[in-house]
Amino acid sequence: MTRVLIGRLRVVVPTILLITILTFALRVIIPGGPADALLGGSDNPDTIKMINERYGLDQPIWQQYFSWLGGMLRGDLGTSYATGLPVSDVIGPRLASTVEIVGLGMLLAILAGGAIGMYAAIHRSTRLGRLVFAATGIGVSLPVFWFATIVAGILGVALRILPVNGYTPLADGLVPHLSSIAMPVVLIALPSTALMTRHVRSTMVAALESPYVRTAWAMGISSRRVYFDLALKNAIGPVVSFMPFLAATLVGELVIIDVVFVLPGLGSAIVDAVHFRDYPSLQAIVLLMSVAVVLLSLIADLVLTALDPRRRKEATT
Amino acid sequence: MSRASSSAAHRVPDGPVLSVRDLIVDFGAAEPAVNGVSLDLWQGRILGVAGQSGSGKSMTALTSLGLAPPGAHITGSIRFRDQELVGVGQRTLSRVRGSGMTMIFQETNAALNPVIQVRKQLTLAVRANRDCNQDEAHELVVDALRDVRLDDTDRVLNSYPHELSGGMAQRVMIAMALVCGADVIFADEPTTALDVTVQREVMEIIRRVADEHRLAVMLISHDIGVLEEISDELAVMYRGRVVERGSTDDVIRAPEHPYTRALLDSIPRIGHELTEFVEMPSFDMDLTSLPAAERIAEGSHS
Repeated sequence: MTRVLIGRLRVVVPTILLITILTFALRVIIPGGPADALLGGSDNPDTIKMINERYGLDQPIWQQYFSWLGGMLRGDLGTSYATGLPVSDVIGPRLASTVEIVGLGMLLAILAGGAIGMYAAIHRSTRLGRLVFAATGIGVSLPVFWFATIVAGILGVALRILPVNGYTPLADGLVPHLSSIAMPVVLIALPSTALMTRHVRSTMVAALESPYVRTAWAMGISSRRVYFDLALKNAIGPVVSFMPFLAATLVGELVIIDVVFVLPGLGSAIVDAVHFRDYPSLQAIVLLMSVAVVLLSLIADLVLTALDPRRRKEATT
Repeated sequence: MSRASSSAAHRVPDGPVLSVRDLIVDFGAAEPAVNGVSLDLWQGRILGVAGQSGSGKSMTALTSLGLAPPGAHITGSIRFRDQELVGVGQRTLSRVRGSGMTMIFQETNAALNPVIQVRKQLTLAVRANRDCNQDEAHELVVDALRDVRLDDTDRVLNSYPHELSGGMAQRVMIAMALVCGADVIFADEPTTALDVTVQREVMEIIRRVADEHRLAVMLISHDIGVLEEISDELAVMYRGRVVERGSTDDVIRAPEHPYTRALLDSIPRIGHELTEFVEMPSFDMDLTSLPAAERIAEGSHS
């Protein structure tokens, strides 16, 4: 396992370094800077020069990159152009709703997508099974910003069943908390659930039509065991390796969900950062999310190694 | 407790254990995959079925087990002991599968579950077909492994299929069929992927377990030379039909159908210089009027 970990780290570390370069390049490529953000269009050269010096922008780019990277490694995410506060103060309070909504959304996508995908695979030759599969096509292609707005309009505004905006912390009571996140979680999970369903269905169909499942039928193994012990065990590997992709999809929807439901999450932090040209915050959030997805794929690799005896063998020889 | 006595209890002494009559398996193609096959399997006897790929050998076996691919239109009769299997539901078929009839496949790398230990796979096969506790199951599994000459049972049981050699994996597959307690075993090209010496060992094991456990075996191969050594009877299939059927000696000594002669001519034999490339001829003859197809009358086995 250690050997696998070392092998993966040789890929993961350069990947993260590449992400830091791309993230840093965001600021270099996009016009504008703290001077624009703070002065709001004033063009007094002395003031601009002073601000640039204060943020270290007068130094050569590679030097800026390394001091920024060094800060990141030390946990210093930089200083927000917009507020002058440390970026960690901007991000910190916004983590709670994001972690919760993305986490629950992922859980929902795994459970619902897994169950529906299993059903569609087992009943792949029936009309209902095919209908379910066709429905996932709609789920994948549904534009969330549009659908979320409609759902919020119906459930929140017209019927007043659920609050339409804001995030009520758990400290203010379980029911208000859950009702404030119910729509965001379900809607953020919608495309991922559809993707997960399709993925589980295709891996399960491959397993169910494999020679070893045919052997199991020939040996008189019951269908329940074939589906849930044998085929599922073989399908779980591809599903685990799908997790990072699922997480990336969820994070991608976060911006839309945060904006539609006015949630204090990283998604709205990104929008704010872009709006105020607050590049240090933007860079930090983008880096944080990318690293999270990369680390998740590292974990998925390790889980796969633990699950599959063929990989385990490869890892030890 | 032993397999032999349990299968002897409901043995039908006079008559085939599996009887296939006029079986047609049609997928709506120009020609049915199986086109009017009649075969009998008898306990303790091996029927070798020869023919090129696509001749309907495997499809006949799979259909008998109720494992024909979806979309197959099946007519005719498949009688296992005294139960008709054509037209019955999957529930009945799954009761027969395993404890009544089972099948072993070629390419054990794919046909054994790659992520499950041999121990668990064999135990699952026992548990699916027999009412017994963990210890009894383990005993059955060890007995079966000894039957197929895998004496290092612990090592085999703790292995994953990819850790076994091809010959060992095929023997595990045979052991799996044995622990099911089936009377009928279809063996679909069980030695095709193996090298020649291992092939012989596996064939000898099949012959021996068939004798010891009074199993009815349908041994499928494209290689009539492999079949002639261990089969009691031979059937030759061509384009979904049995074109020749008879005792192995008769068929080998005096093949009546030109396709059988061509198959036999294609085997290199010691002492016979192979001077020319033998090409399989195509037979555009009327396959419905066959000279030798019914050479063995049904009562001649007693």
